[in-house]
Amino acid sequence: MKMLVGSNLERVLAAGHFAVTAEVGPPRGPDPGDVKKKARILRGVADAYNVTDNQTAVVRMSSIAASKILLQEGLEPVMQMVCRDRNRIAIQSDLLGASALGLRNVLCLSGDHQSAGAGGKLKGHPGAKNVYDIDSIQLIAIVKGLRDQAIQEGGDSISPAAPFFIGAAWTPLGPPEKFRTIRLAKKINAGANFIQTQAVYDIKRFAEAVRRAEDMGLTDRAAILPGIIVPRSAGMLRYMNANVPGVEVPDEIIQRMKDASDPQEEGIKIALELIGAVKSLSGIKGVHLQAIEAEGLLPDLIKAAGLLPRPHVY
Amino acid sequence: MVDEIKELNQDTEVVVLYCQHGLCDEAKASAWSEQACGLSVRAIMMPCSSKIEVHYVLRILESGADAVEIIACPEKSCKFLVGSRRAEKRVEYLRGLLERIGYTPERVGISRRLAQSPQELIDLAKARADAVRPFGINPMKKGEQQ
Amino acid sequence: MIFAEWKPLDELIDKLEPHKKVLLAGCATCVAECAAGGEKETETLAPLLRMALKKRGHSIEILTATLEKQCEWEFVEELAEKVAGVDAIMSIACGIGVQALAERFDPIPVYPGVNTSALTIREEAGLWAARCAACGDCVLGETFGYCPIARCAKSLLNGPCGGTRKNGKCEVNEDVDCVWTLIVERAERQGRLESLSVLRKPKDWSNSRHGGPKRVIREDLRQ
Repeated sequence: MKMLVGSNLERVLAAGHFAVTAEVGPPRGPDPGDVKKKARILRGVADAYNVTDNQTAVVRMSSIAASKILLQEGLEPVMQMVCRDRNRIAIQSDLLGASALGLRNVLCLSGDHQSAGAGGKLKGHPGAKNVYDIDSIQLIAIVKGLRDQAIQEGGDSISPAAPFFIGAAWTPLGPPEKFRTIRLAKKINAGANFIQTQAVYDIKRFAEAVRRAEDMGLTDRAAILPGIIVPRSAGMLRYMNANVPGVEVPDEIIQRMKDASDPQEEGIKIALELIGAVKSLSGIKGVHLQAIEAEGLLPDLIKAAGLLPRPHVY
Repeated sequence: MVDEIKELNQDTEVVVLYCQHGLCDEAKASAWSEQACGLSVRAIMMPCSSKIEVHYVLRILESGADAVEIIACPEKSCKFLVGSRRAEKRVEYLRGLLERIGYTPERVGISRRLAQSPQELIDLAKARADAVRPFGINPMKKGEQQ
Repeated sequence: MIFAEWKPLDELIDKLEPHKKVLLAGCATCVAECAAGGEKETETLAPLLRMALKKRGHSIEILTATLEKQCEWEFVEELAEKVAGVDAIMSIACGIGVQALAERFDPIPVYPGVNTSALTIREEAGLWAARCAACGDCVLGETFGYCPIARCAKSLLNGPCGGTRKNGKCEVNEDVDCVWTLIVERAERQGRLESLSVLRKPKDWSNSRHGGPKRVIREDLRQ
């Protein structure tokens, strides 16, 4: 089977396995030990691990550095890259550097606006200058150019080409809903190989969106991995439903968490049901698990979902 | 347009800007004044309270008046429909400006009344004077004026 | 119009404190339209500043003048007869006006009284909203008359990010419509939604400030 890049994630998907990715948030500090700790907890439970890029515009250890540390720990990273902070020159430079360090998967995102970093207890940098020189779709095209034509955005060549398995995000239930599948098509046309979605709770509506993508032939061209976030409390779900764009939580699920005598246990139960539900949808090739600052939950969850051990594909 | 009362020789100086419809008919043409303790009132009639601009009121305060009370018609009675509402918004804005430069916002106020007698207007001026008195006389009164 | 707002009054007061005779210059064009620097505002700000400084124990003389435009030398010249003895000028015109006065009346220091921040339309009384970002590479023909550079917080060119709120507002500011939602809806109304499937390439920002300070010569108009 011809590989574009040969990353573990690509090989697992190409071999037809149901892929598992998990998210790792870098620390708000320079200690590689913090990353290694998470690596130890998550080793072996996923095929690749997303490393966020200053998520919510909060300064953290860079995605490229944290990804390299994960790689050194034997985990395969998906380096996330946002357009908020760097122009096309810095982005392409970082891509070359990432490739040199052995990083092979990149998730291309627009990135939260810098105002998001000032919230709750954090001051952030709301006064920082906007970059957004390019958007996520242009970024996908740039990465594809570096990989398939050894060419930079401006037209100059690189040597050799930089191999990347290219990912993009999808928010299927965000307004305007009818455009979301068109936007997905744009990302896949630009070169996206795999797609990770915003957290799914409303299976019915998600399934409809996947069907629309299937009708457009998109599910054959890129591997869609729905995002699953383990619910921790009814309050958390209510908050996400109201405040996180694209996240729709059905009332029954909120009610279940509310009524649960052991919310943590119920949350795991719900997550397992969601994993099972998306696994049964045609067009879905894997799952993307996020447990914000609660990575410890994931190994048991993935095991209970029957997704361990992870396949070794050579 | 300008009706002036003889100045009363007391402490707190309040200028009353009243919409011509704020004063009852019998009183309109005549000068009216009433001596009140601690209060000096100067009344100026406007064709509509919406004619009162922020800078007009500021100049009155700059010239040393301790406070300005605007008498505007109630919302439904404004002959110019939205005039008195505009006046209210400007008063709010001006109160904010005064606060930002370290003056008490109490130096400007607005009452929504129709067809008052001179005594009723003086009572409103007195209420304004009472509100502003704890904050002392207008700093613009001290020393040399522009 | 070019949009500006007063700087915090404390800053203006601090700036003028060391001075004795100041000329406060307004402008009857853009800044008048956004209620920051027109004649009304000049006549409001002058007594406000005098009163503020009086409270600090300073007597300051503030002259006022409102020019038709502060970006035309012929109007700027009208101030020449008013600057005798003035030891500072504060302009509440946009940054262009401030600089014109600074150039013409050098060495009198000229201070800005406003922050110039956007190119806006007055949507309704008391409401101004940014419409143009002067990017130098106008895409309005492709985005159905809505500017994604000025009106999208991320200046996206290929559709909305995942941050559009359920009510169609922008995740960055809940009072602002997600402009891509507006673009999609208008495209639909015009029956041309597929035109938004086209991949828009990265923008050439060089015809704006990003390419360096702009200096344009039109030979046909030179003397």
